[in-house]
Amino acid sequence: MKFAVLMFVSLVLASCFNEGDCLISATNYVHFQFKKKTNITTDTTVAFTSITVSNSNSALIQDSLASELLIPLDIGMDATSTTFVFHIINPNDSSVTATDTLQVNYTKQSKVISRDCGAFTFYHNLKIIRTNLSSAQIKIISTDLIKDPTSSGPSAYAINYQILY
Amino acid sequence: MLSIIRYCISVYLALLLAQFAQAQEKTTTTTKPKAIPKPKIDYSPSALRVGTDIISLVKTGQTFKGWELNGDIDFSRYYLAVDVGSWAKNLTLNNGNYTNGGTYFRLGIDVNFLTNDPDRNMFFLGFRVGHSLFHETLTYQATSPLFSPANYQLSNGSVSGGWGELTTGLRVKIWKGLWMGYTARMKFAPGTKGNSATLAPYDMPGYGIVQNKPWWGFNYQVFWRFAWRKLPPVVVKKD
Repeated sequence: MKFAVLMFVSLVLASCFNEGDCLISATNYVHFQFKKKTNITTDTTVAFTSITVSNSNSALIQDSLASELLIPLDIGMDATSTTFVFHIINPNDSSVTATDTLQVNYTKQSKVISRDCGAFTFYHNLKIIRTNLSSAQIKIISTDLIKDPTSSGPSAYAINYQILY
Repeated sequence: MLSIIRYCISVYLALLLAQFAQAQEKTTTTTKPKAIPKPKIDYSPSALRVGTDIISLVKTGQTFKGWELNGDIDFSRYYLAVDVGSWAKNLTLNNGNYTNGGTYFRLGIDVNFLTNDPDRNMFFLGFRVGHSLFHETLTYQATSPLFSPANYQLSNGSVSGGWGELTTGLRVKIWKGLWMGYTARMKFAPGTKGNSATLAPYDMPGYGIVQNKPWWGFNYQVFWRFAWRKLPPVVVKKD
């Protein structure tokens, strides 16, 4: 009997210590990877003159090379879609540029993590609603934005889209 | 979570089995030439005990306002227990503010394991089912490179929820009808419905933080026992 009571009290007390740390898996970053059209398992480096995001204050990047990118969604409370515009340089002829557009919509849910950590927006159900890229050029990997709070760098973020160039 | 529930249920079953086995042992080993007929257990209730949670009253301040009433009624060693309460919170977050408010009730059974106590003091284990009706609002600021800070204002107008509890505690007679005691609660399996898709419920009155499974609670209570009949004196068993 005493043992049972002791165990019950221990279990009750043990549950006092499961207050979560500030491990936030919420993110507004969409993870893009760029792959070769000829071999979708191989990364390709794309030369961007700029990338712009709707409702943002400035261009995300200018004159950069990248084989993967984290691009933020519009964080406005009423925003339900975001448009990304990629200005890229033709790899075969650097004097030729192209513009690719991708518009996605999504659902959002706000959650309080804790008093100390605060509240965060979780983005789900990403859906491409407008693009000039062909469907064969885009591979959808994940429709939720999520990151591993215990690691850093692009690999901490779930891959959302692979674009084939 | 599941393993904890399983464990607690198994502890309960083990206790019940142990008691049953003890009772069996006594009846089989004490073979007397003339069997004394067992007194019939009187299940008719004798009193209503009504009390309040002192911790809720003491905690009431800027961030928490609440009260809780507790009552139980005896059916031999079994008690039908009811708790009714209300709480409202106003929490300052790292990046905003959260408020909620609502009412709740719990209904369940306590089993008294101090059956030989002459004052009928209680050490009990019990089970409760809880239900809550509440509203909540959240305001916070989201930030991200490239964008101006965004202010969010969200609310859940009417959310209902439920959960289960394993309880244990003491009830001690202090003077005449005055009783004091405590109840420790392990709360589990919270569920909510009726919230908007844009705001996940955070703090459910009566349960606590919904994402914490299990969660715990503790009440320190003072009661008055309203008796309408006298119970026969308890015969203290001697080994």
